[in-house]
Amino acid sequence: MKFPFPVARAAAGQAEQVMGFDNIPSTFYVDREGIVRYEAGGSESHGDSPSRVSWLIDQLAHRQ
Amino acid sequence: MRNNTVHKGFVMAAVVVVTFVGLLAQSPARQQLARGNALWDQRLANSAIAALEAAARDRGTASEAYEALGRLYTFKGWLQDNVFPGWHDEPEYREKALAALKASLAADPTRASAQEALRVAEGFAAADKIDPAAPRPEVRALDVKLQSYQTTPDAPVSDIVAAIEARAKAQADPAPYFTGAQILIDHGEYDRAIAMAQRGVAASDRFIDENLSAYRMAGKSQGSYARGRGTAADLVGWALFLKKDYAAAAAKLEEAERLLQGLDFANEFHLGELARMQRRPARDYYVNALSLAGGPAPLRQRATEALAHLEGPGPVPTELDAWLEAELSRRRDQRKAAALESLVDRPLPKLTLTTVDGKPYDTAGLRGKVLLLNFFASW
Repeated sequence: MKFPFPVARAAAGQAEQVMGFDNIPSTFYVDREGIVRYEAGGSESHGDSPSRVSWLIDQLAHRQ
Repeated sequence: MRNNTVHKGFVMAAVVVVTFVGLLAQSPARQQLARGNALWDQRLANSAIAALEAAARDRGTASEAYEALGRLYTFKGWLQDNVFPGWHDEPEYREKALAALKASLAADPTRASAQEALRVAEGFAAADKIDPAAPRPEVRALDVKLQSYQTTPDAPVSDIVAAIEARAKAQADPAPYFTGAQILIDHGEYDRAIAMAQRGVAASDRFIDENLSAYRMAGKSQGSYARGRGTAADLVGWALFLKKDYAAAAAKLEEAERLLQGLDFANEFHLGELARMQRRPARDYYVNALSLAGGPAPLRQRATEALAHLEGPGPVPTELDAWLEAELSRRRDQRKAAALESLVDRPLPKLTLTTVDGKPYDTAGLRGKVLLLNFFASW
């Protein structure tokens, strides 16, 4: 299966240690300058709905 | 209609008065009992226990308070495992549960609810006596026999290997392979030790797979897989170091450090020894090791002595103890703070990623774009 975005592997322990999360899935939203601006750990009560993800990306895309 | 309204108003007023009089009439012990029950409803255990113990000292409330304590201790002793994240049963409360429920019945032998609670607790206690998972005597004896080779440098290697095999046959956990690999290293049998550690990886993975439901949380089983593999990688790396194959040792010891998240005394000590041998900076490894709990006293002593004899810039020998104490305290604080920190408003850390077709992937190449980084797992 071909994904329209890069998919890469990381050792679970290393990813958890470096990124500081203890729950999978975990999502990080990073701005153009490489700064983490939002973090979502685990399955959120509202789920990772496309509109929610789009909104967060939109916030970062229009961040001055 | 009007009369009805007046009547309703009267009834409400009466209730308020009766309640008020009831509160005034409540003894301090009964207030403690009510407070203890309310606190336990909120799962505030320590405060609830203190209030209920106070109520149990009064004869008028002893039976109720002891029953409440008995139920609380029953929960803590047998039932609270994973009720909230990270909680475990506290077996030390089991005897207390039985004693409190018996005290409740001593205060009021007719108290049916306490009789029922005691029957339940005694049922749990009886079930505890049938414990198929307790270490079996023969496994304990085989462990003792294997460990005895740690202090018998002249023991024949065939005896050591036989002891490892016998213990592994009795119970399928990976411990005998890892203990055995260390003993073989201590006896200079590096190749056998490497083979034994590698068998330990397979045993560890299988043991976790077979008992996967026991872990309940994915993070715990992943941690156990990583610990088994990390322990094996460290043993293999240390055996390679002693064989003077430093490049291969570095690869294995660093792999172990990644898997053990830099939190294993022996691994940090081994990395320090390797760095010192290769005349690379070693101080950080030794200090990291000493800032971690665990590790046998002789190895901790060796790490401290190594620090005192390192070349290059560092604390002057007369100030080493004070410097080390301050440094260890700083690292422990740093580790605690890091565990509580979020990455928000901080730069994305460097993370080693590999694409599904095996090529390195660096997120630094995405600078200038908004990035959504989602970590998931296949399970």
